Order: sequence, then C-alpha cells, then structure tokens
Amino acid sequence: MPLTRLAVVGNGMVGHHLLQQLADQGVMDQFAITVFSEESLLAYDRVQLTKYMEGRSIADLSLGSFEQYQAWGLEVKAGVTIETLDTESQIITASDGTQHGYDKLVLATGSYPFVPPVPGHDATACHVYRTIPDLIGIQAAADNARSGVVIGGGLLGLEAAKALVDLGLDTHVVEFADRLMIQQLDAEGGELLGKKIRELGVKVHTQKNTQAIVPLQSGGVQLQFADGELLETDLVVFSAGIRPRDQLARQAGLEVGERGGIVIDDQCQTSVSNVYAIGECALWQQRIFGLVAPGYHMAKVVATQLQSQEASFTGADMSTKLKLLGVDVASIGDAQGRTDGAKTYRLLDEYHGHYHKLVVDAEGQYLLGAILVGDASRYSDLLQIYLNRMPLPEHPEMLLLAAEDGASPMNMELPDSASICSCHNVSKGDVVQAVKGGCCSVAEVKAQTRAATGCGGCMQALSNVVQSSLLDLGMEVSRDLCEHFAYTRQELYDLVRVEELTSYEDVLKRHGHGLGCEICKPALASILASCWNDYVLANDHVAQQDSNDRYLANIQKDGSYSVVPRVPAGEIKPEQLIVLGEVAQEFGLYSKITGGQRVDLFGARLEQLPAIWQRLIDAGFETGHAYGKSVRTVKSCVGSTWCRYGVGNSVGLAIDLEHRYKGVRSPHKLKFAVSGCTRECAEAQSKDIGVIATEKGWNLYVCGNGGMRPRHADLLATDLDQTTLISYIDRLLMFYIKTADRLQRTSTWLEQLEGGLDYVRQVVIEDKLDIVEQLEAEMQVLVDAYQCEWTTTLADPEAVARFQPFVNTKASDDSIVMVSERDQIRPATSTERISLSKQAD
Amino acid sequence: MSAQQWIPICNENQLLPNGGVAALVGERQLAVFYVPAKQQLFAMDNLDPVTGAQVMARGLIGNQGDQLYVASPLLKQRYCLQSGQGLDEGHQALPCWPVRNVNGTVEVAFPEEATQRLCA
Ligand code: SRM
Ligand SMILES: Cc1cc2nc3c(=O)[nH]c(=O)nc-3n(C[C@H](O)[C@H](O)[C@H](O)COP(=O)(O)OP(=O)(O)OC[C@H]3O[C@@H](n4cnc5c(N)ncnc54)[C@H](O)[C@@H]3O)c2cc1C
Ligand code: SF4
Ligand code: FES
Repeated sequence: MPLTRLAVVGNGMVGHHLLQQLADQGVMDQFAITVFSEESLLAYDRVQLTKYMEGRSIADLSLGSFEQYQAWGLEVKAGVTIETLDTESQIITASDGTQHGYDKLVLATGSYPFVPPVPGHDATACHVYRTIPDLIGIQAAADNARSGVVIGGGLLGLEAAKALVDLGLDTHVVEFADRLMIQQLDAEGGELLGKKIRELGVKVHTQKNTQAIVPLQSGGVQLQFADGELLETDLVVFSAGIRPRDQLARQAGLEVGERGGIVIDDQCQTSVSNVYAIGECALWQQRIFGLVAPGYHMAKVVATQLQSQEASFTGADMSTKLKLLGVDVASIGDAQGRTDGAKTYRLLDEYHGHYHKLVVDAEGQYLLGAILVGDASRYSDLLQIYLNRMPLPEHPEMLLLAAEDGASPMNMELPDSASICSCHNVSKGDVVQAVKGGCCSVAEVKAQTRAATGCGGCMQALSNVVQSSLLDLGMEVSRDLCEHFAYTRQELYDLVRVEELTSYEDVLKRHGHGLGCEICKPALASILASCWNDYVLANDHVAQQDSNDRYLANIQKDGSYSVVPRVPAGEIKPEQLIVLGEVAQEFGLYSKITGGQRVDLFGARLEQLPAIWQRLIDAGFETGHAYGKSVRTVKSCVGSTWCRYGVGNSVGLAIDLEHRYKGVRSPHKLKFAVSGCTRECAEAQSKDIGVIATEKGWNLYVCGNGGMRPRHADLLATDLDQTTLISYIDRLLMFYIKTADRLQRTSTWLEQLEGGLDYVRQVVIEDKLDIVEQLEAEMQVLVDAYQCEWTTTLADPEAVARFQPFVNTKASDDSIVMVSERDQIRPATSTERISLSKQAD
Repeated sequence: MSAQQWIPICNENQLLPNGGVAALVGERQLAVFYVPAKQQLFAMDNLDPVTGAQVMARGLIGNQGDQLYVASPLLKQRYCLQSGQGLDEGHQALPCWPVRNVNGTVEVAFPEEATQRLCA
C-alpha cells in the first residue's frame, strides 16, 4: 500500500505536537510527511518565550529539531510559507515556488499579533511579541533605549512587560479598559493586580485609547491618547490581541468565521474533509482557543483519526494559572460570574495583597469559577473541584480562608476520571495505574505518563496524587539511597568500613545492582574518600566523581571553570597576592574576593587548568577544595595579635584548624570560623564549626549554617584548651560523617538526630557509646592521608591528559566565549554569541 | 538527505569506562559514552540544551530500569543515551548518532552537513 502523503503547514507548538503524537504512537512509517515551517527555527516553546530574556538559550526552548525530524523520516521545509492551496487537485504551492501534492492536509498556522491601525503603528520603534526573532529585535532596540511601552494589558501584554523589565527598561503598560487582564479577572482582581505591578515599578495606565504614534527626532516616539495625554518612549510593543492566520484557508475557499478563524467540526475537519485545522488558527463552535492545551487536544484528535480511528474534540477548559511579573494570578471557569443566578464569595486581603473569589451556582452546590490574585496556592484544588463538579462543602467560604496554611479544607477524594494534567490529558486514574505498575516517584510517573511536562501547572496536583497512591499501596517513602542500593547512606558507610571496600565497582557488585546513577556515584565516592582518603581521580574513582570533583574545579554555567587556591584563615603574603594577580592576567581570568576570605579566579578552560595550577603550586599554594564536599575555609578575624579587644589568637588557631581538616571529605561541605572575642567578627556562630576565644580558652559552637536556611550554631562546650578543642572537633566531625544522609549539612543532621544536641554531647563528650577513641583514630587516618589533589594530578601525565577538551584533536574548545564587563571578562549571553559569530562570518 | 559517513574518533582505550569523552568533528562537538558491562557505545551531541554549554560528556551516566542515561553536569537534567530523549522536563531531545568499534577504533556516523556548526 502506498504511504499516505501528509502535509503539515505550520510548525508551531501544535503542529509539532501532532508529529510528536504520531511518533509516540509508533506510526510514523505509515506516512510520507512533509512539514512546512515559515519560521526558520523549528517549533519552540512559545509559552516560555519570556524565559529567553531571562537568559535561557534558544536550544532550551526548542521542541523540534532537524535531527529529530530527520530521525522520524520527515521532509522538512523551513523558512518556507505556503502561499496557495488547491483543494480540488490537492496541491499546495510554497513561497519558493515548489508544489506539493497531499492526501491529507493539516493546517496549524497559529495566529499573528493584532496591531491596531493607528497612525504611526509602523514606526521603527514599534514591535510585536510572538516569535524569537521578535524578541531578538526588541533586545537589540533595548540596547539604546531607556523606556518601553506595552500597548495592551492582557496576559500576553504583561508577559511582554516582564521582558522589558528584564531588559532593564523603565516599563509602561497602556490598557484601553479600566483594568488589567479583562478577559480573566473582575474589577477587584484587576485592580489589585495593577496595584501589585505598580509596586514592582511598572507604570500602569488604564483607560487609555492610543490615537497616534508620532516619531520623534531622538528615534523614540510620542504616544498620543484620546484624553489628550502624551507619553514619550523609546520603544513600543503591541500586544492588543491575536488574530487567526486563516489567509491560506480563505484563498482556498474553506469556510472561515465572520471574525476570522478556520471553521472546524468536532473531528477538527474543515469544510473540505481531508483538510484539518488545529491550534490557534481553528474556530470551533465560534470559539478560538488562545492557549496551548486545547491545541494539543486537537492535535491528538487528528493524530488518532489519521490512523482511521474515531476521536473528537469536545471543547477545552480555559482555566489558567500564571506568574506575571512575579505576581500569582489564576482564573478558573466562569470567573466573571456571567452564568444566570451565579453568586460569589469574595475575600480581599489588603494586608497581604491577596484577592480570592469563588463563583458558585444559584443553589450554592457547585463551583462555577474562581479568581485568585497574589496567592494561587489553592488553584489546583479549586480546579479539581470545578472540573469534576464536586459538591461544595456546606460553607464554601472556608475554601477562601484556608489558603494561608496550605491545608486542603475538603478532604478531597478525586474520582479516577479527574483530570490531573490537561496539557497531556492524564487523569488521576492514569497516575494511580502508573504507581501500581511500579513507578515509585514523581519523576518516574512524569517519564511514563508525560504529566507535568507541558506547562508544568499541574505539578502540585500530580505529586499529591503520587504521594497518596504510594501510601495507599502501603509503600513507605523509602530512605534507600537510590534504585541501585537498598541501603541508607549510613548503612553503606558501615558496609564500606567493615568490609574494607575500596572502590565503587566493589560496592556495586556486592551490595547494589545496575549501572548506578548520578545520586549513588558521588555519594559512594564521598563515602570511600571519608573512609580511606584515597586520591579522588585514581582510575577506580574518576568516573564516579561529580562534575566539580572530576576536574578539581567548579564548573560554571558556560562550561568554563573557576580556580580557588587555599588561603588558610584568609592570611596571605604580598608575594602570593602578586602571583594570584599574575596568574589572572596571564590566563585572562576574572578575579573576585569570595565570601570565604580568599580569591576566586573564573573563566578558565578545561585545558588551562593544569598550567594554572602548576603556576600556583610552584608559588606555594595548594588546592582550596572549593569543588569538594569537604572543608572549605576557616574564616578568621585578626584577633589578639592586632585587635584591641582580642583575647585569643584567632588567626593562629584558624590556620591550625584549616591545615588539620583540609581535604577531609564529608557528606556535605564544612565551614569553620574562629573569632578572637565575643564581638564575633568572623561570624563563627553561622558555621558548621565555630570557635570563639574567651578569657580562659575557646568556646566551641557546632552545626550552624548560613545559606538557604540560616541556623545559629549551638554551644557545645566552653573554655576549652586547644588540645581538647581539637579532640572534640575530631569526634563531632567523624560522628557526623558516619551518620549523616547524603548532602546533609551539619545543621539539618543535628535537627534530625534523635536526642539532638544532648545526644551529641553524650556521644562526643561523655563517650556514652564508647567510641571516642575510635572516632579520633579514624580522623587521624584522614588527616595523615592528606594530599594536595592538584599536586598529585600534575605529577600524573595520564590524569593531566583528561583535561584535554577533545579526545580526537588538540584543538581548544571555542564554544566558550567571553565579553568584557567592568574591564574584566564574563561569559557572553546567547544573543551576544550570535552577534559575535555573525561578525566573524 | 545525504549519505552517512563513518568518521574515526579515537582508540577504544582513550574512552572513559562508565563515563564520557568529548570529540570535535568539523564544528560539531560530540559526547561519546562507554558502558563496559554491556560493551555499549553511545554518541550524542555535547550541547547541554538547558544552558547551551558544551558539557554533556562530563556528565555522570546511570540507569533507571532498562534505560541508560546521562545527567547534565550543570543542572542534572537526564537524557536517554539511546534516543537522546529528555527524561525530566520533556524538553528537546539530544541528537544521537550511530557509533561503533572497528578493531579498536571508535567511529561515529553522520551526514556531512551535520558537521557544520549548530547555530540557530
Ligand atoms: C565564590 C563564593 C561566592 C563569592 O563570590 O563570594 C561561592 C560560590 C559558590 N557557592 Fe557558596 N560561595 C561562597 C561562599 C558562601 C557562603 C559564605 C561563607 O562561606 O562564609 C555561604 C553561606 C554559608 C554556609 O554555607 O553556611 C554559601 C552558601 C552556599 C550554598 C548553600 C549552602 C546551604 O547549606 O544552604 C551553596 C549550595 C550548596 O552547597 O549546595 C553554595 C554553592 C556555591 C557554588 C559552589 C555553586 C556551585 O556548585 O557551582 C558556587 C561556586 C564557586 C565557584 O565556582 O568557584 N554556596 N556560599 C564563595 C566562596 C567561598 C570560598 O572561598 O570558598
Ligand atoms: C508570550 C506568549 C506567552 C504565552 N503564554 C501562554 C501560557 O502561559 N499558556 C498557554 O496555554 N498559552 C500561552 N501562549 C499561547 C501559546 O503560545 C499558543 O496557544 C500556541 O503557541 C499555539 O500554537 P499553534 O501551533 O497553534 O500556533 P503557533 O505556535 O503560532 O505556530 C504556528 C506556526 O505556523 C507558521 N505558519 C503560519 N502560516 C504559515 C504558512 N502559510 N506556511 C508555513 N508556516 C506557516 C507560523 O509562522 C508559526 O510558526 C503564549 C503565547 C505567547 C506569544
Ligand atoms: S572578633 Fe573580637 S578580636 Fe576578632 S576582630 Fe572582632 S573585636 Fe577583634
Ligand atoms: S497541565 Fe500543563 S503540564 Fe500538566
């Protein structure tokens, strides 16, 4: 049988989804498919467009790729517009003059931004916001601009405003109506959103009818409003709605709606039965759907029918949840309360800046719609109640109030048919089935069902259902390290010690299965190092090291590395400072003083690392382990040596401590500090190990943390002499290394340890477990086994060879591109790279 | 579509067992992974789609059930070694290329135009 010739016009999100559906169902080989894409880029994630301005790369937004399409056996014509369609002879003609016959045709031409025909709308300062080239144009224009105006205060207009804010422009939003997001919000919701957005520095002008745009000498424009007011700006972005791209359908004589849109029936067929239309170009029951999920449903309906099976599109829910300029906004169902007899419950919390509204039916039985502004944590619960027509509780107003603590006011037992992910049409039943079929985590359920891999709005709902299904099956949330080891980290540590295992392969062979993963490999590499302190890049260990350990340097966002030599206690000789400066100059590195009292040199290429370190080591430096889960720095203040208040030699002690514990690998990084008196200039109480001098000796503080969740350290012992101090630190650290979970800082370890600080005191000071001698001995082994990993590496030609970026050539990696900022280097952004490579061509 | 050509990359003993190495072919960077347990070789683009950095060869490899994957060294998103499909965010798949070992020489096949720079 000859293959069905399928032509797909338009390669936007929905056109791509159709192809993905055919591939997922394994039926690509039944068709000879040609894809026409007017944009020269293949399909990308338009919903996340604004992320591009936040620095995401084009590759990250892309959905389709030439390679992928090639692998699927598709013929792809990119940068080509279909100009005419003859449904009689079944031939389409492209802008490059070529003609293509088809058996089935799918129009997925999307829509275009509507630009109101005010005089001056075509000035060079005016832009639209729909494609990546649009963004690049806006970005280029923003280089010489100080301010920008978005015309249109709807969902897309506010997205565009976010982009202008990201570009650093003084941003204005001009809206014709009396409030923002008139489609989704009511008066109070729109008002509050406007207020919040104004607080973020965006100027919102409502009830403004733009009548003319007058170019100025400066290159900017002046907006003239009907009420006589004027606004000058450097650039304008129109976001005044979208219009379906139905020109091709009109030309071919297909039925189109009065106000545009290609008319389709429930099968997504146009007025000619072998021509389908899907996505934003399609008009179904007089409606255009301006969201991606309904388009995906249409794509699925067509993919099914192309295999001669029945399927129909029955409409789609238009509820949405968004973060606009950082403000949560959600709108569900009949948010405006237009249904006959509808009543509302409303809560306006001016104190926290929240507005919540429920629209219920005349009898108060069912939820018809809702609006949430400022806090949308209730969205997924309310959406489920709405979609599944669940009866409301006796006091529906409770649904408004409970939003604060996050607890669900209804004990929600969703029916199996409840939709969890609307992008991929996954029901609760599908999720439960996946868990019963062996998926044990949200990640596994995501991979199997694709739920939560679209807009991501259903993540919360998905993880709730996964958790409760796991519990229903009587599964504990396991503490196993990962699927390869049915042991906790602590158990594995004991096994490694007791059985004297020295390599990952040994441990895997004896106690694990499979190949391992990015969780167990670094965890075991760390355990092995904590037990034996072997060279981390020895042949047995190298493939298990996490990216930073593998190259003894911290990987940066562009694939370059940073270099951090150790500067014990922050004390550094002038000659050493000079060497750091020389190295930075010679290798062209960015230099910065770190928060840990040392110097970080950034922007080294992989192949430069050995030469840089050779210079540093020759000058007496050693590795600073900034890459390791190990001791980072021991911060110090100048102490009694210089300071008029100092009562202890804090620098001297800090240097001793840093040399003692450097290179010891632990479950997470360790930070120390020593202050010379209670004024605490070294901030010791925010460190894992903090020491503060007293008139009589040293006070020892433990398990403090800065970072994400700061915790004050606890006072473990007072007025210690230096020998006792060090023995206590040995014991505490070794006890932590033995018993903590992977990547658990000392602060969370202590909080989760049964018995807490008292128990630690019993173990470390009172020796309740009779292990302090062993702990001290084990620490001494690690201290004695110390080596500077960079010195070892430089002595081993095989290890040095691994720093060559490529196996097959000595070429250096030209994907790392720097530009200059404040007279030092920094990685080029993706747009800068494109313009640099254009200049080069 | 032009014919595929096999391009020698390196000697088998230059590979990193249970890990990856990078190679430069024309202007295109590849990551080649080697799993000794099953004598398997995989080749895919070295480009981390999320950050745009050429670093995939420096990622850790692992398995989830039968699926072998590599996790990006930067933000840890995982990609199937066989198909390049993203396992976490469902974003773009990484292009994968046929790769073989001929008497100790590792070779990768792809159409000539693919050696051009990957540039949008
Ligand atoms: C360079 C530096 C910032 C600076 O410009 O000053 C820095 C940079 C990094 N920090 Fe930090 N932190 C630096 C001081 C700090 C401090 C301040 C301090 O140490 O006094 C803190 C809070 C104190 C604390 O940790 O309790 C800090 C809390 C973090 C955290 C959060 C830890 C937590 O428990 O919440 C991370 C993430 C992690 O480790 O998982 C982190 C992770 C990182 C990493 C390693 C991220 C990474 O994996 O790429 C950064 C890379 C460094 C590089 O590429 O060279 N960094 N970081 C500082 C290096 C100090 C040094 O000389 O080693
Ligand atoms: C900034 C922004 C934010 C958004 N946010 C959200 C959101 O949060 N949630 C949500 O659900 N939706 C959102 N959307 C809407 C969503 O992006 C669209 O619903 C979706 O992209 C529609 O897909 P489509 O394939 O129908 O159209 P498109 O993605 O527009 O694709 C149509 C493609 O066809 C091409 N084409 C047109 N005519 C021809 C021709 N004759 N020949 C060849 N090619 C042709 C076009 O150039 C285009 O590439 C947003 C849109 C934008 C712009
Ligand atoms: S902590 Fe005390 S000794 Fe140290 S610098 Fe501050 S005031 Fe001086
Ligand atoms: S609803 Fe969009 S990803 Fe699930």
